[in-house]
Amino acid sequence: MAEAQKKKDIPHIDIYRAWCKACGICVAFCPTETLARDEGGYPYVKYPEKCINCGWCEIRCPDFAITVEGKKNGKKVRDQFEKESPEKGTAAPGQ
Amino acid sequence: MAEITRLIHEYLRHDKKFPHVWCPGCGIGIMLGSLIRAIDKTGYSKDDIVLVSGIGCTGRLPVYVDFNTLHTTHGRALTFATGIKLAKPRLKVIVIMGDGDAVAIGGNHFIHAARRNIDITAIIVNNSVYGMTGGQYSPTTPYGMKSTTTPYSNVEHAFNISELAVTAGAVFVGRGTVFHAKLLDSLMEKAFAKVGFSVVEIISHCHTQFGRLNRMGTAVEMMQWQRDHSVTVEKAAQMKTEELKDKFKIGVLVDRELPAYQDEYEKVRRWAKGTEKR
Ligand SMILES: Cc1ncc(C[n+]2csc(CCOP(=O)(O)OP(=O)(O)O)c2C)c(N)n1
Ligand code: SF4
Ligand code: SF4
Ligand code: SF4
Ligand SMILES: [Mg+2]
Repeated sequence: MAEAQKKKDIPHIDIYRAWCKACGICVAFCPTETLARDEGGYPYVKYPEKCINCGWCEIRCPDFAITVEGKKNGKKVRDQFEKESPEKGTAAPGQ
Repeated sequence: MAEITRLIHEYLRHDKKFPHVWCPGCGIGIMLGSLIRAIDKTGYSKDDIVLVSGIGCTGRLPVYVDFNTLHTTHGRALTFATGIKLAKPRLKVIVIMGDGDAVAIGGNHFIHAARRNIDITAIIVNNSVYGMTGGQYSPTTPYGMKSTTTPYSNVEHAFNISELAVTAGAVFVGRGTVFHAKLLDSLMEKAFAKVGFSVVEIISHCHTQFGRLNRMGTAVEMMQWQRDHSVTVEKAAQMKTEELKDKFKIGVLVDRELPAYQDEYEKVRRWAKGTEKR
């Protein structure tokens, strides 16, 4: 019971690969080493149970590509965003 | 915490190309997050906010956000912003500039906007270099550092943007770094609440130009540099000059009251019309 309770409290971390540029900032400054980088340099959640939901990865991500939330808080940001905006990206850079 | 990103999405222009144009790990994206959160806190509607920028990597920022936005010419953002503020004083006018934009080509506009104390917030991303055009030195490139136009070493001395703003008359001046993103939120909130010329200088990194030429490493390493070379104003007050030698101060550097230009100008109007006696 205590185990199950604990699992439920683990924050949910979502990495939005389409926007992530593998800069490594979220991983480098995570105070608990919850995150790690794969061979391509992209972040992944290595130890979900270590996350303390401090939110620093989300605040420092320059590309708004990682989100953290307490499990109970419901919907994932990415789902919501994709629903609202099925087509992203028409304008060319460097106008 | 995911509500932070949810909030950001409310302000992004989803018809623009994302991920945005900035290099992987560039501090401008971090600062954009702070800017959106701080504007949201002001309670202004999107239509009451005007973001004005010049040209540069930093100058591209307004393209991505759903406010009234003007992407003007290099160095002239403050002049356009001055016009907007005088024509429509009820609008909240925020100017986004790079260090080159603000204190090289736009240096004169910067000091005089501060001297006039017009109610505009100037947000300056200081990455010590001309990022967009290929890493040329700027007036904030420190002495002894390399750039593409100072390949041996920069022999000039750098402007301290915040001190310049204080001396020129800004009523609020704060400095932060992109490493200290939460501090940036609070500095911007305070700047937006201030009536008069307010400045937030943001120490950021251009690891692909300035960092590469000076062997300062990745975006992560340059953010570690920001962490290790900054001290809060409060802590600095307890430290000896010697200990502060290779450090810069972050926090609120100045917060004072002075009559703001658009209000003074309104008075002049009334005197001239004769509706009020001088
Ligand atoms: C009148 C004019 N002069 C020069 C340029 C070329 N130019 C474009 S951006 C830039 C400097 C950008 O540096 P900064 O303002 O620090 O912005 P950053 O790219 O570093 O964010 C220059 C010189 C221009 N676009 N217009
Ligand atoms: S919320 Fe904090 S502890 Fe959790 S992954 Fe992000 S930075 Fe690490
Ligand atoms: S900070 Fe953002 S862009 Fe950088 S690696 Fe992490 S999720 Fe990707
Ligand atoms: S060139 Fe420098 S300032 Fe411009 S986006 Fe790349 S890292 Fe950022
Ligand atoms: Mg610059």
